This record gives sequence, C-alpha cells and structure tokens, in this order.
Amino acid sequence: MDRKSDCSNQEKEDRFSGLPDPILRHILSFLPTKDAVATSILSSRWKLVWTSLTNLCFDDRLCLEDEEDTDVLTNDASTMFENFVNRVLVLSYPVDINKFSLHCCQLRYLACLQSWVSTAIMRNVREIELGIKMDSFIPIELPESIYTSRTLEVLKLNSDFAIRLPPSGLCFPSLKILHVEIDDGGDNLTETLLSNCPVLEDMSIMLLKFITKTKFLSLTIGTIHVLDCVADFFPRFPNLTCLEVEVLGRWELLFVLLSRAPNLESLIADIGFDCNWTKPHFVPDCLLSHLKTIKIRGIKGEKNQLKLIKYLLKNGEVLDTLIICLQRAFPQKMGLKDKLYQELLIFERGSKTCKVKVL
Amino acid sequence: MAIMYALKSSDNEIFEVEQKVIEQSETIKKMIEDGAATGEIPLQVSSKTLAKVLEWCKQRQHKTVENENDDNKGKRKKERDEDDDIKEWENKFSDELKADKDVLFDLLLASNYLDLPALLSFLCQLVADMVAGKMPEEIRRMFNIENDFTPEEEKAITAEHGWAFQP
Repeated sequence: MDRKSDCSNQEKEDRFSGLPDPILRHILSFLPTKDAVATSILSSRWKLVWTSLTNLCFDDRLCLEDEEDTDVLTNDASTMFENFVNRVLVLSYPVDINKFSLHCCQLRYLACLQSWVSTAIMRNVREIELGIKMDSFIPIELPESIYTSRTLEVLKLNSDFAIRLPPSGLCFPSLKILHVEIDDGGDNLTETLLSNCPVLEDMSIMLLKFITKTKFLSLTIGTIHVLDCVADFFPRFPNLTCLEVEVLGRWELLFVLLSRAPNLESLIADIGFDCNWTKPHFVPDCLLSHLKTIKIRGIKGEKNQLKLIKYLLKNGEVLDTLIICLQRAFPQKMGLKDKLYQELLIFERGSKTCKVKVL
Repeated sequence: MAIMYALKSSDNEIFEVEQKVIEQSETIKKMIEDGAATGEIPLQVSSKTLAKVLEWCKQRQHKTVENENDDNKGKRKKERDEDDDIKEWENKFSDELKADKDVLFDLLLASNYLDLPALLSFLCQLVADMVAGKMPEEIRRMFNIENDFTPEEEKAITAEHGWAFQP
C-alpha cells in the first residue's frame, strides 16, 4: 500500500493494472459500456476485466459524429451498434445485472429491444432505464417478462411505451420506483398501477400528450425538478408561446427550457437569488427568432444577475421589451433603480428597437 | 467531550482522530466493536496516505453534522451554498490526485482496505473520468500500461468488438 521509494522505477510502474479486479470493475462500472469494453485492448491484464460488469449502459448516440446535428445514424452504424450490444450480452459472464440502461436515437428492430431487455431480466436485473426512438408511431411494446420480474426494483421509461399489465392483475412484484414519460397512458393507468404493484414507493407519470402541446405554461421550481430528472429527454414544447417560470438559483434550467421552446414569444422569469452562472454553449433558438417580451423578477443588481441581463439583451435579436423588476421591499431600491438603468444603457443590444424598463 | 482514537500508520506515525470521523471506515468500526482497538490501532497504510484519507473523512463528517443541525428555514439556499463549497473542495482534492497518480492509487487501495465505500466510489469515478472517451494509446501512456499483445492478437480484439473502438 506504500508508495515505492525507488524513484527511477516510478515513472515506468503501471499501478493501474496492479489494482485488484473488484476495484477495476468498480471503475469500469462508471464508464459507458462502449468505453469499458474498449479497455480490453490495453493489455492482456485488461482483456477480460469488462466481462464481469454489472452495470450495462448502451447509447447509440455515442456513434454520432460530433459535427452532426441530426440524430440520424447510417445503417452501418446501426448494425455495428446492434452487433455490439448482442456480443456484450453474449460474451459477458452471466452475473446478475445491477443496472441496464439503453438509449437509442434510432432503433430499427423492436425484436432487438425485446431480446436485450429479456436477457437483462433473465440475469436478474435490478434497474432498467430505457430511452428509445423508433420510426413507427405506435407505442413500443415491452417484453412480457418485465411485468413479472422478481428482481426489478427501478424502472424508468423515457419514451412512448405501451404499458400492458398482465390480465392476472398482479404486476411488478418488486418494483419500488417507476418513472414513466409517455404520450398517452390510457384512461386509468395511474390507478391501475397503484392498485396492482404491491411495493411501489415512488411513481411519477408524465403524460407528454398534454404538457408538450400547451401554448401557455407556468412552472414552479418543484415541477422543473421533476422535468429535470428526465433531463436527457427533457420534452420539447413546440407550441409554447408564453412561459412563466420560477427558477430560484437554477438558471441553467431556464436555458434548458428556452432551448426546448423554439417558438416562445413571451417569458416571465423569477430568477431568485444570485447564482454562479455560466453562459450556455449555444443561444436558444427562440431568443434569435421569436422572443419579444422578457420580464425578469427578483433583481437586486448583483453581479451574476447583470451578467444574465447582459446576455439576454445581447442575444435577444427580436426583443421588443425587457422589463426588470427589482426585488420587492429591497432597501436600496430607490438608488439602485437609477444606477441599474444607467448600467443597462451601455449594454450591447441584439435588437435595435428593444425598450428597457426598470420597475 | 468527543471520544478520540489513536491510529498508527505503517511507518509508525500516530494520528489522533475523533471516533465519529474514523467510524466511517467499516474496517475500523468493526475493530472498535470487537474490542480489538485498545490503545493504538495499527493500520497497513502509510502516514502520507492516511493523512489524505482523514482529510476526506473530516470533510464528510463536517457535512453530515451540519445537515443534522439544520432546520427547514432557509435550508434550500443553505444546502445549495454548502453543495457549492463541497464541490469546490472535491474539485481541489481531485486535482491534487490527478496530478500525483501514486497518491491516487495508494488512496484507492487504502479506501478498499479501510472499507470506505463513499471514498472508494469517488475515486473510481475520478479514474473513470480520466479514462472516458480516450483512445487506448492515450490511456496506456497516461498510466504506463505496457501493451503486451502481438499485432495479430490486437487485430482479433478490434475485430471482435468493432464498435467499441470507433472514435
């Protein structure tokens, strides 16, 4: 356990490969399975370490080229991905699987998904997470064995799945956590699940059909946290024109929302206290093309708050009006109002016609 | 008055530590429960590594105590500030380890031996982050791993798991 004192050898020593197998497996369990399997080529010591992985995490988006914006895979890439998942499932030791996670931006064959999930169930999987896009518009069917698994405790479905409970009634005998985000759950999915799953502790069902078609949306911080939990598949709101939101120090979530609402015209945001905020990597579409009115509440003139306002003014290319509402009952309010207004005047503006008001 | 224990490193240095801090280690906790820990507790860990382990345990202990003392009022903001502080501390801790990989591996083995699951996971995640998305040649260079495959063997492995080696 002690550091070797021989300094001349220190440079050359390979302490990584010298770690015991359980630690190496633990390290690999934090990697996407693609990277974990790739360690097999490092040296003969590494050739089989990955085969006892208990967390399998597949994501076909990893084979999209960085420059590509689209979520479209070539047929060759899809075939390679399918072969990869098949081989990993066949070649790994049949140890119990802790977590099986699968994200496909383009699944070609339902049969693949069903066989992979069935294999995971046969290997006593404890947690399943699926986010699948298919070309067909019908909800995706899960293999029947998922409903009767005695080991499955966590199930997260971030795509449009058809949940068909077995006629016998009892289902998901060990399931504690269920998060589902589906288009349409039928009439009484929630009640049916609640009355049939014996040990369910935590369930959230989001019916995208309603939430994503809305034109007006008012969100509190609690709701945003729920949306944030499924962040990978944070829904798009193509029809949304008017958004009122409370982000209280989680400003990055404001930008996630903006980037998913390309046609937003009016935004009212309560940003709460100052937070350490970094500019997003790209400007949300709505700022460049649709967003005309922004009202920001809870401003006290703090450094990061100004940074945020500066960003909105600079990038809001079609902005008509920006209204800054100072924090209510804020002692320095009177002096601040003029000072802030002066400061705002020198900020660069993306829209020449934009009016700024401080209230 | 907190109960203190004396830990003895493999190079015979003594560390006086509060019971609550060292009980995060399942190994030491068991030694104490079994009554094997009268006087100094001898550990197969060097003083340099043990100092780092304790640095981690104290930080964790600090965090748990503060959370217990919190009431609900203003908790959300306070928690967030604390989270930021902890993150900053962890980033600094990680940077030091990344810069000196020998300490990193000593610490990995020590956290395994002392049965400190939180530290072990933290370190495994750290190493995973160092490896993620890197080409095999880069990983070998970073950790001095010697490639003992023949070109034929290497070719066979690449063929077997095609997609894994796509950049």
